[in-house]
Amino acid sequence: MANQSINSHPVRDLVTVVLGVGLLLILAFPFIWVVLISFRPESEIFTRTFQLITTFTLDNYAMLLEGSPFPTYLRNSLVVCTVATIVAVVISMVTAYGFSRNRRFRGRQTLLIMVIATQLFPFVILITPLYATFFSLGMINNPLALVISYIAVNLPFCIYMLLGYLDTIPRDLDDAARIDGATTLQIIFRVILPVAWPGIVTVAVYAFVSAWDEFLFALTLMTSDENKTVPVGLAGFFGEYTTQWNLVMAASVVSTLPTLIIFMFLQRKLVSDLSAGAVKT
Amino acid sequence: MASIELKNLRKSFGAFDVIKGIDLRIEKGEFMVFVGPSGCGKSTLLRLISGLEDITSGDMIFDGKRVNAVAPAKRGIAMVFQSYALYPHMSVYDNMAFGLTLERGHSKEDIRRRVEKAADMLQIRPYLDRLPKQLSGGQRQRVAIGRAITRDPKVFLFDEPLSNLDAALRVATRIEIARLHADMDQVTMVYVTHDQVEAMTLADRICVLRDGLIEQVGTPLELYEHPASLFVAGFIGSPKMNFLTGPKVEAYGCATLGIRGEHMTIRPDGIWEGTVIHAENLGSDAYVYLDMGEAEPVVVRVDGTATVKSGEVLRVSPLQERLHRFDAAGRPIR
Ligand SMILES: Nc1ncnc2c1ncn2[C@@H]1O[C@H](COP(=O)(O)OP(=O)(O)OP(=O)(O)O)[C@@H](O)[C@H]1O
Ligand SMILES: [Mg+2]
Repeated sequence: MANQSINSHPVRDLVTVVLGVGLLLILAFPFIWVVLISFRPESEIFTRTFQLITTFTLDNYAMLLEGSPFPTYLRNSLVVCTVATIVAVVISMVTAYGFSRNRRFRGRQTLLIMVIATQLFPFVILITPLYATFFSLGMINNPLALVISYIAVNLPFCIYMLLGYLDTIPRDLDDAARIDGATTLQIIFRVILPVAWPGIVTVAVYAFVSAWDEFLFALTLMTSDENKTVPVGLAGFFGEYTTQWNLVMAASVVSTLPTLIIFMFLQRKLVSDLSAGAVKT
Repeated sequence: MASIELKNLRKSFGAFDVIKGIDLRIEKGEFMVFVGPSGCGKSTLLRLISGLEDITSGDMIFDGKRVNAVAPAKRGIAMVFQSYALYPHMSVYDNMAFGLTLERGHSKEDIRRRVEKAADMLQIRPYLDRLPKQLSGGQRQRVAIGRAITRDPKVFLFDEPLSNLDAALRVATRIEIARLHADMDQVTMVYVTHDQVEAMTLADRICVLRDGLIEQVGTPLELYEHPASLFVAGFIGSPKMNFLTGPKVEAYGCATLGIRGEHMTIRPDGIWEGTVIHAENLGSDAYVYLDMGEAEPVVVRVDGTATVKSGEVLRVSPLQERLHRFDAAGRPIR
């Protein structure tokens, strides 16, 4: 790549770029469509997608944020997903550390298989027992119920991801820290966690996004309007007879923002850390 | 500032016995080197001393006090690892200060003073703000040693600290460690190595381990001159001692006759005859490999200026007082 100016193939490069852009357009088309429509007045939402001479308006966003319960959904989602993500990362970090550093305790293999086994169920069959449990605990419409469910559902994958990552971190680091007087928790959070940062980021993004997009649990466990999360709230915009398409589009755009921001922010950090060889000792 | 006593020390991993009963006393300020073949338990023994590994049975005594259940950080030890084990996300300064910041009761200035003092001893002051990845291997190992010094330990533990360095750096760092030992004459050092030269040059005493047991403990010269077994004789010294088992040996009344390459001379009236298989010239001296009808070629050390050709027939004589006689069980006959 570095000496492309000397050894260049203009035609081949052009084809590559054209193909790349074309592919990108196909992939991004639904999103572009949603974004474009979200800035059009209701009367014009069925005009051609790329017809550029349409009225540009922020009315949809104004209505979404001021005249609909969407901000409540957004806040609910942010709170639930953030808390669930942080707790899932902390728990999976400690658990994965335990599995990674203790290779020979009795039952290790069985425990690991059990962790994986939880992933064998389709989540749909969990809905009824989950609902019954939270109902008897009086936790229907309590966001904590959703937080707990998301943590439980995300933990196995997080643990496995982190276990693979922690196994690559030399144990000498733990030993050095132990000799320096660190407790196990200090070793995990002050030595291993910063070194395992790229793995943590991957796991956190996974946990956040999967909670952010989750629909079934949220639909079942949060029945009152003020507790709904974005996916469920968004579904509510599809009325039985009429659908407020402009609102739906604006809401879709807003609801992708947190994920987008997280990805852009963390990816930069991730890439710079990886390329700097942060895991090398 | 601490003597270390190991009493009938044992360590098993599950059903697998690694350390099989070791009694050893390491004196205050002594430089003790553990050597032995790979897998014999050197690292495990060092980790038992450090407290990183739990003792299965027996006693570990520091300065007369039993420390079996004392945490590593409370034993007054510091350890230097083969892999350096520097914290990759911390600057050199933070790496060195980490232990002190974890201990309560050190002021910022106190920590800074101690880190800088250690950094000066090892000439790493200019790198204090760098991250480990911005240092060369040799610099990293010096930082690791500096981190150990900062803790002001009574016992220094080294597990093959030089094996990841290239030859020139190895020598330089070895000399640095020797100097350090001289400067800190109150500090006990325990050092694990594979390297003959490190063992011979650094040690006050060498402990040869074999399969979880002590084979022999003694000063480098004692081990070199009076190996207590065939195993030690073959392990200490480079090139390896020659062991003769053929008909020549009968005259000496033993099962195996040992003679080091440096204790034989090539001379026309030599008592043994051999054909040159190969010669290695190291410049200062040369190793001549002779076929003397023994199971293995016999190595003779000669002056580097000597010219020897393959296929040449030579006569050699051993220095009679340097012959080592061993019985069939591998014990020396004195
Ligand atoms: N945590 C452990 N669990 C089980 N077995 C172990 C463990 N640590 C070491 N061993 C075993 O104990 C034996 C001694 O290991 P140790 O690391 O002490 O050898 P060593 O003398 O340091 O070898 P080397 O020169 O290769 O470093 C080896 O057979 C090793 O497989
Ligand atoms: Mg070892």
